[in-house]
Amino acid sequence: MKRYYWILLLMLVACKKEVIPDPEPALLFGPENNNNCTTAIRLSDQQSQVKFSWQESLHTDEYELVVRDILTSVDQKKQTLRLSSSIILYSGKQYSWWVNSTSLQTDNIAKSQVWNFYIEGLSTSSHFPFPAKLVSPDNNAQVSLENGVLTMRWEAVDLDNDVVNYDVYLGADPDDLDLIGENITTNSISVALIPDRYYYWKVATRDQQGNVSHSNVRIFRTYP
Amino acid sequence: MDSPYTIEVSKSETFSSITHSKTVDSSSTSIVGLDFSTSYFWRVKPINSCSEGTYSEVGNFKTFTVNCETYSASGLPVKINDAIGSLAKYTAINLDIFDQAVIQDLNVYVSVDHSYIGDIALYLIAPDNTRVKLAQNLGNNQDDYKETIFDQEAMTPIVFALPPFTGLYRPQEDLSVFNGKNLKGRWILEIIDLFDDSITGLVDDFSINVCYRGTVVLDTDNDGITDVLDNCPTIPNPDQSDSNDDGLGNVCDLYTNDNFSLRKSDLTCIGKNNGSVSISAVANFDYELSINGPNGLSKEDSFTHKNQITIPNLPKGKYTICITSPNNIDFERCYATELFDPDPLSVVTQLNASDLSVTIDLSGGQNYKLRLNENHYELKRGRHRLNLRAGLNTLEVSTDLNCQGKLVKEIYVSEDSSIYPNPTSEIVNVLVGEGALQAEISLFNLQGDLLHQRDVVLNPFFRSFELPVDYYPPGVYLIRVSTQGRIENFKLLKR
Repeated sequence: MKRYYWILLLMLVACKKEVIPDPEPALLFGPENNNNCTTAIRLSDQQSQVKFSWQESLHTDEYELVVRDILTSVDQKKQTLRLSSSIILYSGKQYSWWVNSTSLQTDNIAKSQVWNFYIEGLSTSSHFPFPAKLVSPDNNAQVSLENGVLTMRWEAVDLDNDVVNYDVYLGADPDDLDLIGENITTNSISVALIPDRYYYWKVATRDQQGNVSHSNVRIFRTYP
Repeated sequence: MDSPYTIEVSKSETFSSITHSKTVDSSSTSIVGLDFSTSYFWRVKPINSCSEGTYSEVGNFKTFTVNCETYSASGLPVKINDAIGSLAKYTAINLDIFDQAVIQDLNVYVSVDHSYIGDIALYLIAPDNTRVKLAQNLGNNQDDYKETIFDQEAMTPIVFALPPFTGLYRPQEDLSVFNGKNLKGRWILEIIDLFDDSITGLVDDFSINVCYRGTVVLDTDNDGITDVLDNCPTIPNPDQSDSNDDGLGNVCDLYTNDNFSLRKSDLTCIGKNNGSVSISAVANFDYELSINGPNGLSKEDSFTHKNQITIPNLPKGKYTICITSPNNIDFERCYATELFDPDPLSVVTQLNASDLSVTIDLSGGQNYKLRLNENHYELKRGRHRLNLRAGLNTLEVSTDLNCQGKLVKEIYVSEDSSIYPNPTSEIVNVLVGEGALQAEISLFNLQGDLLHQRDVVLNPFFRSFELPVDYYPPGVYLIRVSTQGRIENFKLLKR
């Protein structure tokens, strides 16, 4: 009789279909989603150490932390048994992150939500362009028009070398000049002028970073 | 033996009046007492005891103007280093002279306060390193050189004088070695203390009186460029830089294009008002700055060429910056800039909980491809409104340019709230569903007693609220989440 029990028990063990549960996705803690100014441990001007943490998920043996640089889509991955991990990232960039829960029992992976954040970086700074140097006509010059047209020229320097375009102002009143050319990308402009008049003019120089400088106001006269 | 000559000097070519006349036995002589900067004529005739010869032909010469000037060392008195043991100690007093002239005569004025004056030796060192001993260890244990003038033409040698040596004395070595040399450069009075007796002294005065031919070439700002050639005579500028070639050196020129250097620093985070603008100037003036920014922001400040000025804590937006100078009311230089903050994390600007939709602002590109869950859209730039579904929504935004990348966003819209972890021992997080922006969260025990209640404000993207439960005894509790017109209950197991 005792032997039958053993056989019955063996049969039970052999026949019972074991249910292998899939891991469940982890709940993320931080850095919190859409945080625009994650304060991480600043390691250098460029790099910061960011601590990621999440909630324990069921049926999980190991977590894989994935941090993606949103701009380049380059991933950094880290395996851990714990519920937090630190990764060194570049500051001043946007990242997304998530956690994959893995199990030794199954190949199925559970992916958590994807959260985004931004690490505060060093302030970017830029030089203003120097005011444009008005090349021609010379100050106080008398100029002759060609078919009623005068070409005005200038030069500009920016230490960042990022001048984008120019605005040219011209008029009879130095305190109330008219904008006659906007967002010009060349260093000259041709304008139709009236003979025997005094004209004042200046140039505003704009760089890529939104910095603008205004040149001196100069005067010239057109020949009758 | 030479026969004598008579020499005559006159201011007129006809010798109508003779200013100097003398008879000498040699064929050369000096004439003293001539006027400065004057033309003279001269002639010679030989004479002997029986007859006179005829006058030679007339020669002429011109005297120079001789001027004298005193240059004094600054920063006095200076302490004299006492000797240490047998080691002599040197003290050097520098006197920089920038005027250019050829020395005709040079005297040295010295005042030294020392109670054992015999310790001291005085030397004068010229810019070309010629070293002349003025006095060496004179006066034994008595006091001071007081207003001593070393003059090569003085009658009494300094070695025969007694302290405090006040007056004119001939130095121990010849000061006339400097005559004919150039004045410009660094002159040094060197004081050597030979005896270690714990007696230190002070140099109270060191001046050089120089007589020179003609007029000195002035260099007011001592930058090595004489005033007539200096493009900014009052401010030292040895490099003479003049960016706009208008003949006025940069340090003197308000209007130089690169007089001002401006930098702006953008904000490091959205909403963090830490932008700044800094300004420095080259030309030596006082400056006034006014800066106008968004929302009526207006600041004024002043600065000079000596200090860079930084206007900190600026919010994002557009600014105008104008610089004026109280030294020149006509001058004004204006700049404009815009301070930026980092790009926002998402294109989603608004999640509308009431009708379960999302408002999207598209800017930067022209044409956009959107995928919201399984639906594809082709959209122009601007504001768009798309409907969401309950649960997880995936929004993908790309432009027609590959380089602009792709933005993927997951939006979780849950109708139901949830709590986690459960069971818990310390903290339970309540995730509020339905997109409600306000919720009342209450904690009850099973007997229905209200243990804790909080009104929480949520945002569309972060809907979690932490409820600490660590100080309640283990057991089963009820959490009630109440939003506009809806109440949800959860059972929490506290371990």
